[in-house]
Amino acid sequence: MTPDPGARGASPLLAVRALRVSQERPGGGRRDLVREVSFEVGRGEIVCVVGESGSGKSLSVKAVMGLLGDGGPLHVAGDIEFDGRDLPELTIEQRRALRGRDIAMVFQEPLANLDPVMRIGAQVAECVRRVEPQRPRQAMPRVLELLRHVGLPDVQRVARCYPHELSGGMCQRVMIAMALAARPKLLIADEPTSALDVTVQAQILDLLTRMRDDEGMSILLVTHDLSVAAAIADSVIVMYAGRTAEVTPTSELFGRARHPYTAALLRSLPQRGRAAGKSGRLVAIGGTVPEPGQMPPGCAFAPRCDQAIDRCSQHDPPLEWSGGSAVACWVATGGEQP
Amino acid sequence: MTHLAGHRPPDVPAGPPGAPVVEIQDLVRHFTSRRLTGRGIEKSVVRAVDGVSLSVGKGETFGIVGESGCGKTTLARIVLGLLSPSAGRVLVDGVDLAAVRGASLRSLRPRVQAVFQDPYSSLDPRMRVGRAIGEVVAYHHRAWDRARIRARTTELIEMVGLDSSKADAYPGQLSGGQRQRIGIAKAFATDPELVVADEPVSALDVSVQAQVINLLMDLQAENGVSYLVIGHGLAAMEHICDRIGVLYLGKLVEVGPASVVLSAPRHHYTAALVESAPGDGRRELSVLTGEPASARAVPSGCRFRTRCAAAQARCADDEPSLAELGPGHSAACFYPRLAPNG
Repeated sequence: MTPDPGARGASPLLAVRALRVSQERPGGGRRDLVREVSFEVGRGEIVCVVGESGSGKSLSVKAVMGLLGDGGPLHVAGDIEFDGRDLPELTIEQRRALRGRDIAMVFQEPLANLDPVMRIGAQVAECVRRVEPQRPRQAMPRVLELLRHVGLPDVQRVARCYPHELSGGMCQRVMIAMALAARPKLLIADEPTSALDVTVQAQILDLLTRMRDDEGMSILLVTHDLSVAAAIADSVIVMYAGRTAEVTPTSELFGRARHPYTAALLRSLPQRGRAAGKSGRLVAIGGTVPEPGQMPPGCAFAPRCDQAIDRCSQHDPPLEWSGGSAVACWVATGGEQP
Repeated sequence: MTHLAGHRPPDVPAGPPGAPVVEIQDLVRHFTSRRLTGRGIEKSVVRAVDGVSLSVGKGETFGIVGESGCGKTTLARIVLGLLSPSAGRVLVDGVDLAAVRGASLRSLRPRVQAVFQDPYSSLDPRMRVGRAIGEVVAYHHRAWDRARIRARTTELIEMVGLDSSKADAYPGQLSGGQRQRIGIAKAFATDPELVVADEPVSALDVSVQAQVINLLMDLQAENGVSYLVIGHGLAAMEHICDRIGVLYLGKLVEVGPASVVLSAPRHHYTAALVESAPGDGRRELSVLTGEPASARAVPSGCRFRTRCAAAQARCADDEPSLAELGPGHSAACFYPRLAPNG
């Protein structure tokens, strides 16, 4: 059930094992929003977490960041090891020191995460000064360098702008510049391109790849779009209904997906240039994603799965690791008795 | 399943055979905005739609693709009659939408219906979905009694692949895919000839998008309805559309058969759009530099020239118009990309 340690040589930068996020219910008891999520991010690796809404992908990375709050309604359990340190064991102060330095995050809506009444330069300077305390004026050269680094034109002018004066793509570049201020080891990006146009999305994905290539930064990218994952990820974590369904190298994803959900999802996507014009019906997946309160017994995908066998609706399959990939499916693993 | 054409009121004449259901002629819509700046009030004109002509034939699906701010939603709103054009005309069955009032407008309106992106915000959260559909049926068929309205409502709900018991549900009790099916049932309640669908699947879970795309195509095969679809997922657009028009800053830059436009684009912008979309397993992303120019300050000459790698001096002086480069395929470019195989 744990990732095979011998598979990747050096110890991974981030290892998440058996992560569980549960919610306190008013009548007592707990319900799991995320359960049995396990994955690793190697040094200099780009890993994508792919899932639909409600699959628990954002909740999982927020749990990794420690953003779900202590003592709140959400309870986090499981091992999260970052750079040899056990994150849940750290004090609140130690975690806070880690965030924005060793681990930085970029969110989906850049405009919602920038201060609307503060100039771009001053916002980036805050991040710079947090890492290296200095006067605002002294931080400016580094601010401009960061803005230039993420490919913004005319950085002097951009630094004097307010967020609403920039386009969405430019704001997302500013967010990435802020995240890079501390030269983080791990960048977590939650749907960083979902609010952007495709031509701008291509620019941002290109920028992220360049950050990895130039600085050896690891990137954990959350997306609902399999084609984004295919374009830049080294490996892909597919989530369904709060669980890890499959972990696979990107090269194995198309054509050699092992989990029936991954395979069905890939089949349901319209293909460019498959046939001229209206090429008949798509191979749709029936049914809908289950709600957290109404998980079916056994495998959560079983009611929608065309390969389901009896055991699937009775017992939840464990995540079986072999090498760097894993799958949670009775049919795919040949189904030995639980 | 039903044959909706049978429900059309007899007093509404059908268009001549072969004629387009909707014809858009030189459509222009400008918005004027005033901004308070340090130098006083500054007026600017946003050229959202800036001279668009297209037609949608019977049973045809015409797709419009483009980036945000290209004017595609403004265009859809004008076709639906929700916005009036600054210039140009929209003809539905040969009748100008803007020129009719009263009873003739009321008989024209039901022929063009809308399916919106987010069905949750277009349904009343406190009205059972059966009643929401029934309201449209009752409005369209004034003479019908309650039993007949209810029967038609049930028929519509089953037509979109839902169980008739769902009529008693509130929108919040349905999943996103089910809500979009209700939105589609509502659109078909008036037996429309044209359905304008603005990003009909982009708010849905990936695993249910294919279901809704199949439903839209099945309904078209049964009823011969025409679609004007606005979307950005190129693969899905190629799948459902017969023809595609590429909109850039309020103007069509390329129009043609869907598979031809997307597999052998002649306009440099279409090519950039196609190459930017991450495909399956393709790793090298072609990167178009710069942002779309603003519709507030449209560049002179060709409006794409500021981002175009093939731009020449002439592109800044003259504006290219759509020119036919292949059968039914035209592009607005002085230096179009070469067609494959010569």
